[in-house]
Amino acid sequence: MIILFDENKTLKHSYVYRADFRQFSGNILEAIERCESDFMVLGRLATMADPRSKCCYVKLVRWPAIAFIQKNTNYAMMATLLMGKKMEFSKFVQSSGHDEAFCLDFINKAHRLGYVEISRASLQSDKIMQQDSEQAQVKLGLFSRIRVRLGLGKTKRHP
Amino acid sequence: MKEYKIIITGPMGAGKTTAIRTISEIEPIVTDVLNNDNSIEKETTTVGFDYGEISLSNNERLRLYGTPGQERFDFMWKVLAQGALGLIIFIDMSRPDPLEDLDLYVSNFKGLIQQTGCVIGLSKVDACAIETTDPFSDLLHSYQLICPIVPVDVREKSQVLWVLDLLITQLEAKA
Repeated sequence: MIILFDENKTLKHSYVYRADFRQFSGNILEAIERCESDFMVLGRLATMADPRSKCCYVKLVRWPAIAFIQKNTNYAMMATLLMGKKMEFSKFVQSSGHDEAFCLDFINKAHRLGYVEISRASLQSDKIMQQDSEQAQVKLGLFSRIRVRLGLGKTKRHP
Repeated sequence: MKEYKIIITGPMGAGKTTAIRTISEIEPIVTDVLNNDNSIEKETTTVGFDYGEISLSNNERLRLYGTPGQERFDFMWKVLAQGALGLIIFIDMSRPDPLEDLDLYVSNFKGLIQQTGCVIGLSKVDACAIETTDPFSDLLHSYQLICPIVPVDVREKSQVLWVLDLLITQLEAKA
């Protein structure tokens, strides 16, 4: 959120941006130029984190609406991939089997609609997809055998 | 022999038996009797459970259990759910209140869904005819759950396998 005050701390303008900040930079400069007196900027620019950043993680927070899922036949599977622990974008790209641009477009659209959360470097308590535990490896082995038997293709967790 | 199981549940007539028949490598064992519930046009209904299986290797087997749909058999649901890998809920969208149906099964299987995973398959509906699934998402959200919600034709093997793929992918993501 961007809030502009004049020197008397009177609210001049406020803007809320949920999307990529960069594409709105022109609007922001325009807003600043419209201010006739000196101003202060309070708060911080809550811009959308770039999911490609190393310190960013993505996670599904709500199953997308049917209209969104039906936009592309791959979206249901891509959303399902994000249902577990927070995942680095690069891992998501690898798991999905799609190219980076397609994955980024999916994440950006899903984020704008409130289906996906993009968070920066997380607290220690956060569950983040890291090295698999021994127990997880056993489970993944089983799921892999089920995939092979049913002809579902390779695991999407470690393609 | 190591045995694993996946549970398929949902209201009477949603397609549980058909789905199992579609993918089981053995002729499914069914415990159907003549349906005396006049609220639904169906000749027979499951009173015990349906059973199909898929062999994974010489000493591993995946068992597919279809629960009886009617609530009066809910004692069976908990028995069948014990130790399951995951759950598939089929919701018959032609019934009067699919949302209420979903609520019944989610509330009964909440523990299993939290511990493992679940896919909601919307059956008996043209995928294009579904205007919104938001009420289903909202219901799941009220239980603090997220599950894939997808239309499915249980008569089509590819679609049943796709639902299974979504379930396995979800389990892999949570592992």
